[in-house]
Amino acid sequence: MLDKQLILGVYDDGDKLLSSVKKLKKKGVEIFDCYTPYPVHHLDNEMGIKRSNLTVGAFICGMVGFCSGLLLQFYMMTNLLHTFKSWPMIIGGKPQDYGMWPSMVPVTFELTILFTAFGIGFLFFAKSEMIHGKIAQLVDPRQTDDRLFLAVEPTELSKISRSELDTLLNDNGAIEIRERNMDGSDAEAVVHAEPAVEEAPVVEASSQDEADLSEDQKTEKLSLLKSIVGEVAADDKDDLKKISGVGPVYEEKLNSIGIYTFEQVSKLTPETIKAIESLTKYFPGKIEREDWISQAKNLMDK
Amino acid sequence: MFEAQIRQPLVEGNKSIADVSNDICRPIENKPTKLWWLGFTISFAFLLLMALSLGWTVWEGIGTWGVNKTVMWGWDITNFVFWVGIGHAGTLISAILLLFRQKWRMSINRSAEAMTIFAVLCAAQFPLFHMGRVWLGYWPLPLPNAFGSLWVNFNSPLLWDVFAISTYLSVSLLFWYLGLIPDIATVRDRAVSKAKKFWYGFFAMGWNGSARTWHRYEIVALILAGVSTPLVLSVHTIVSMDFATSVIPGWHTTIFPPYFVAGAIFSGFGMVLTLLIIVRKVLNLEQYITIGHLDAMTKVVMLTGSLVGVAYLTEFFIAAYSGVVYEQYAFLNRAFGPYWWAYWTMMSCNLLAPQVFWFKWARTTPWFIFILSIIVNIGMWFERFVIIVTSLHRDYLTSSWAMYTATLTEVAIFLGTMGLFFTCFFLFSKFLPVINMSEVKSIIKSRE
Repeated sequence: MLDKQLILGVYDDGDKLLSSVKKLKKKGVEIFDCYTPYPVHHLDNEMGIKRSNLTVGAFICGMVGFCSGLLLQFYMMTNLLHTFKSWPMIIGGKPQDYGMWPSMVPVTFELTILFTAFGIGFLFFAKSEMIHGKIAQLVDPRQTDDRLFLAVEPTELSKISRSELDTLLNDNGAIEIRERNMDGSDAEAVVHAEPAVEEAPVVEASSQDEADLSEDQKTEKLSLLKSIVGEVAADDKDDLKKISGVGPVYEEKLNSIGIYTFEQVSKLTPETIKAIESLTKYFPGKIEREDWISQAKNLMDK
Repeated sequence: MFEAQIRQPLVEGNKSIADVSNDICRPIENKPTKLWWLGFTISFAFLLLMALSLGWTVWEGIGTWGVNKTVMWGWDITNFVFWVGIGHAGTLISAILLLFRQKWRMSINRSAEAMTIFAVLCAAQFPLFHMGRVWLGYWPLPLPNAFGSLWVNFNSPLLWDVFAISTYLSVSLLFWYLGLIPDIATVRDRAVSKAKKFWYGFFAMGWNGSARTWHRYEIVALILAGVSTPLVLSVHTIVSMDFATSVIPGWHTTIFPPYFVAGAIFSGFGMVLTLLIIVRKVLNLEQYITIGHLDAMTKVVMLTGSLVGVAYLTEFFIAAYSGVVYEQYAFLNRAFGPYWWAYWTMMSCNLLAPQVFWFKWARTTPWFIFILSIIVNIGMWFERFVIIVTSLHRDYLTSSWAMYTATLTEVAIFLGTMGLFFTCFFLFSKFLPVINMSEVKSIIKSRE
């Protein structure tokens, strides 16, 4: 996990992220970084990232390849570098000096390309500090999946007040706004906001909710859940991952609290959703936002 | 906002970003299906057949093949050129279509590039084992040696081939791997088991989708596409020079490089179609690899097939017009000599069959395209057979004339490389995302 204190705007669409970045830059706020599962075009320009000079590196590598190709062949095929110790290469009376250059074209060409490609490859890995086995510096496990993150350092709050920042991000379609602590854990008080459509953003997640539930509370919530959605044997389970928004991790969590089928999901009520959220401690508001209930109903019909 | 529908959407079914990950990661995150196991077992059996027949070749010697003094290249070089050619479509799709900014490449480039790599691996077996003493297979490399440094011969197209093919293989591998990194990271972050987290994490190289890395990544992709394009053209050009720089009638023609490149793209697209029609069905990816994709690819097949056809006819015309009796004989012998059946198979499969793609029905009916793609593969295999065997079997001296028939060992090796190819492809479809998720996520229109 990335070891950094950050304010994160969470998005589900590149265009929304891009427009937030534009607005923030207009206010003079520096963006620490954005994390996206796919390349968002023009994001680099808008963030003010300087064009990388990898192309220069590629050109130099290509030139090295070109020269080594020529050198290799002159060294082996001719005596221009006084390299014939014992075996001159006499092949069908073909020239043994500069005159053999046409034969050198293919290999020189291939080596130029080989050096360019691997040169730029390794330069890229070096500049991006990527190496096999490196632990990824993530802000959230979904940043490579279906969420886009805009990260701002808290020091930038000198240029924009916190509430202004929140409104700006929300107005441009942020799903939620989070803070991360130095140790990489999410801050306790999650400032959570719905997109403008529904009720006004309310700071709802109290620290109690986030804290571990007592055993009593747990059993109480589980029994509430069971009374509404019913109990199903684990053998009859549906592939809950078919619900857009449910991944393997979340599916396991749902299974662990006794939800296995689409039918159960379709029966969820606002109360039970709250219970699930506090039991699984995972993205509050997600179930309603992605409308799992009607998704599940559709999947049942199939 | 209203958007005019000029083109069909590239991805159907109103997918969200999460859908893309879920759909494409499904084969990786779930247990393989029965169909997968069936296909994998059959392929693996053929791979064992390859090991067996190559082992037999090494143990007993090249005498187990049907090649002789006159026809010294038989099925082996035919298969070599066939497989190298197949590889070309992958690079064409991922590199050339990237330069032309053709977005439909995005859901097929991953599997096409994988196909390139596996095909080149198959191709490499043939020259290596044709050397006879395969344990000396490193001799074509320019290494200092114990003969007072007797170097390799850079005047020889066979050596150019060594450089071309090995560069092609390694650059394709790099390009493919680079494209895979963001997707491997996605699989890593979705993984539940520790082993998966570790292995995908290992190969993801710490990818986190930072905007700065994406910025560099796109530059690298563009440069790699830029160098792969001339590379892919050079590879089959150099393969064709194995023939064209010789003085054998039927080989010694300047039309060979462009004609071989067109043929390679043609056969490669044939194989891409064969594979993708199966993949989209078996892995339920019909909304990603749409009829639109098949339509576009069949158009390429039709174009390159016709180009190859023009080359066949040009060769014939030039032979007649040149007034060189050896050339004239070589071509008449191709069409009406003892190997006439191979020649006419080639003509009908490569020149005539793809012409059905003028009709929209033919371009949009998967089962029909599947059959046609098999026909294209057969035709292109025969093209190489015709070029190699018919040109060789009638030498300048009538006393050296000979016929060539493949032996069971040669057939087994060829079927075996099919096994190698499909084994690799099945493993790929189980362990890696067959569609480039990160690119597809950037082209789905309907993001809420």
